Amino acid sequence: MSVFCDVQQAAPVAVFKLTQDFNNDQFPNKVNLGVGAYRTDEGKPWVLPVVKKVEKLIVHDDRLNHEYLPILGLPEFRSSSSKIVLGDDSPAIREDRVGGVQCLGGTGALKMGAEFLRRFYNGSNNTKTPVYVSAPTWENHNAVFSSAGFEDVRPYKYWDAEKRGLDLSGFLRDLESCPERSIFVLHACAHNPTGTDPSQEQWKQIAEVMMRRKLFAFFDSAYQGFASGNLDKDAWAVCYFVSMGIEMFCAQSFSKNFGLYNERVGNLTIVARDADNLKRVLSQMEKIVRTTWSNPPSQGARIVAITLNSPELFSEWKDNVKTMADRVLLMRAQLKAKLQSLGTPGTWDHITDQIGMFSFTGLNSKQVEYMVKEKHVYLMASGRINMCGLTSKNIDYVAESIHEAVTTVQ
Amino acid sequence: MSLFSDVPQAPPVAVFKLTADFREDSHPQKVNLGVGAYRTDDCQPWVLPVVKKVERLLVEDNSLNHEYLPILGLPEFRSSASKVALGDDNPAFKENRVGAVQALGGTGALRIGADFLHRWYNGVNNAATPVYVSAPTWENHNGVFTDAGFKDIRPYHYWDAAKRGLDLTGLLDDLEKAPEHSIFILHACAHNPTGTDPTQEEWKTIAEVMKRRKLFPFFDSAYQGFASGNLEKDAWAIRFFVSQGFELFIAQSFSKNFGLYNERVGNLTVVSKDNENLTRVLSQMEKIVRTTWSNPPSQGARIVSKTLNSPELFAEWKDNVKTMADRVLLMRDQLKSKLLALGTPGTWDHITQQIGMFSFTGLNPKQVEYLIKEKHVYLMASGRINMCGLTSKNIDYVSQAIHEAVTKVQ
Repeated sequence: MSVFCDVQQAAPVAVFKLTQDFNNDQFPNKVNLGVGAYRTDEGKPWVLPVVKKVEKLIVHDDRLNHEYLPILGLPEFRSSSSKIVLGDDSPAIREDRVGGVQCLGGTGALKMGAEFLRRFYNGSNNTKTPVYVSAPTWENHNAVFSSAGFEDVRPYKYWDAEKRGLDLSGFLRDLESCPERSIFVLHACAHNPTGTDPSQEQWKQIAEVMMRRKLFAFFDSAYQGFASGNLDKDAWAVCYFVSMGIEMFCAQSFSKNFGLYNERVGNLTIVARDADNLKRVLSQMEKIVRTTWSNPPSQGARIVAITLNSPELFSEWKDNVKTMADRVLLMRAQLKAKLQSLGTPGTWDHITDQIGMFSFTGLNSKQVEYMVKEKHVYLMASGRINMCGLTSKNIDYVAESIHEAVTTVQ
Repeated sequence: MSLFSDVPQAPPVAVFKLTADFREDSHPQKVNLGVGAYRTDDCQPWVLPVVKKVERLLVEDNSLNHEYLPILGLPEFRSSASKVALGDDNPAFKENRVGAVQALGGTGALRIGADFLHRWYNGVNNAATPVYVSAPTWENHNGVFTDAGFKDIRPYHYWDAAKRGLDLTGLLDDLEKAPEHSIFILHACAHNPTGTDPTQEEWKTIAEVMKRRKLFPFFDSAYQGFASGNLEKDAWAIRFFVSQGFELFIAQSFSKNFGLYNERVGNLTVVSKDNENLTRVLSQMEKIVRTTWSNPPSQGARIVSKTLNSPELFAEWKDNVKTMADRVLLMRDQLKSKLLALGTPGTWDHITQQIGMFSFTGLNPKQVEYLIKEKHVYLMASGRINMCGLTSKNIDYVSQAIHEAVTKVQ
């Protein structure tokens, strides 16, 4: 009799199951529009040229060794990461009230932030503080906060399926009616999965209510630079909130904008009222990090830090990011154009209105099933497609498949 | 008023505070015998030659990219890491009942294992299952299991201060008295901090009681190869337990034996009764990993995997490990000789009898304080010294300092 006999089989993570099914599929024209990673026009992963360059620099630098990083991570990584989202000249940084915790990708940053908030926010170990995540949101948000101990993870209105856009009035209503001090997980830009972001005016409204109702802003920033192609533009919402003087967290991921998915490069930026409060917060972060991974991995952080801290490499990086963002914009434009020329029923403006890697096509689950089973075009059950999966070679096939799905399946 | 005004300042982790104090000390003859990292005879960190070689190979390999690893990690790393612990030809592999989770160093492996056991062992979410850690043990064991949710962490007798050796009677007594199904954290070899391991006969006795009383063995293996210089020898206890049919976990760290401290290379080896149980366990491990770091970092795992899977590189690695182990043995030998030559009161056999990186000197807190404050020799309050901190240049000074501490301070 095994001590594990009562362990249940867990369901696989949907997005990885999709890729697995795709990999097992023999169909020659198969297309993977599932997992969120950049692909070239040849449908291949892309190691950024600047990353390749910096990796070579690192391996030839004999001053570097493999000694433990500090618990909170590589100092030059932490500071340059926080700068990239808040701006070099951020008053909050000048006022010494911004700190960073190097984490394992965006997931790790969310996890560390969640663990801290559960222990210390709104009382001590107050597991009842509601945590609001957008409807819909990245599939892992709910579980990260639940596993950190929060008992009450709720949706806030976000996506209006009817009008295929932001349900601002629903969102604001949820902000007005939720318990004070609730935590809100906000997507800094390029909302996953809808690709629909509030406008600057809308962010201002959201911020006003949040401040008035004492709600905690926890930004998830996984696509800075990737959304519009411009780093500052993509950080506008985060910077705006900081300029309003509030205390908040921002979980940053460098998986997408550096293409460093598997080196797990993330940063939890913490904005506090002042240096003293920041100091105590960081001391508690150390305790949480220590019992999770002790201290973070070096390679990815070194690559990012060297790049961000060198004007030349930084410039080259911004160029690489723009390359990726531009290809996505091109695919958006072409997919919409093709659907329109096919006369596919419905409006397709959302494909070019939406921003970032993903598009929420509006396809229903039956149509999605048709796409996957009959056309071997793999996308999420929600209708989310990764624009990066489109190439000049497969875009016609995908457009036709969507056309078929919409016209033959209701 | 800050949201964080009630957040207390956390005390620093002792071993890192020691190193911070050491760094600030300007005394010319200062010696750091604190944190457990290998040092050369020039007191420098050492990047293993085989690691440097493999890093160069990796950076030139254009077939590699930075796409996400699977949630459980790099497959070739997981299997080769488990093989290093259990032996290539362990029947458990043929029986398909060994699995692994690539984790963030030994800490990450312990944490994922602890999170799993908390959810699924001895009932569901049974936070009351006692977890036993040796007295004394690595300072982070308690924190890891507590943060995983266990409410009852207890010491088991281990170190006999009077006789400066293993308190086997006490240990066996605790095993007999522990509630059935209790979890026991066992140090696979080179016990931290005492450097005192059970003999093979003693391990057999321990295993017999654990089997009879249905206790769960959770091995912490951070020093394989480093302890005796021989990988197989250092894995004897683990392999014995597996041969006795136990289901168990092994948290493996490659921080020390590969000198890859900052790339966070670890592996949680899971040995189950059969493949069916193993499959369910690994599926739940995926869920836990997904909400902690999503998927693990690639660099360190690639280095280790490439090394372990190439006969030439593997041989070179074993050589590098032996270099480190031999230098430690030399320092043990010399320290004991010098103390004997100085006529320092007490017996010093334990210095050469103890195994691995650390020695439990037997110095009391006052004597430790003297060493730090008066002699600028930094060691842990427990009297633990890192033998790697000793060099041919400082060993006379350190022996003298110990002599003074023992003769002047009671």
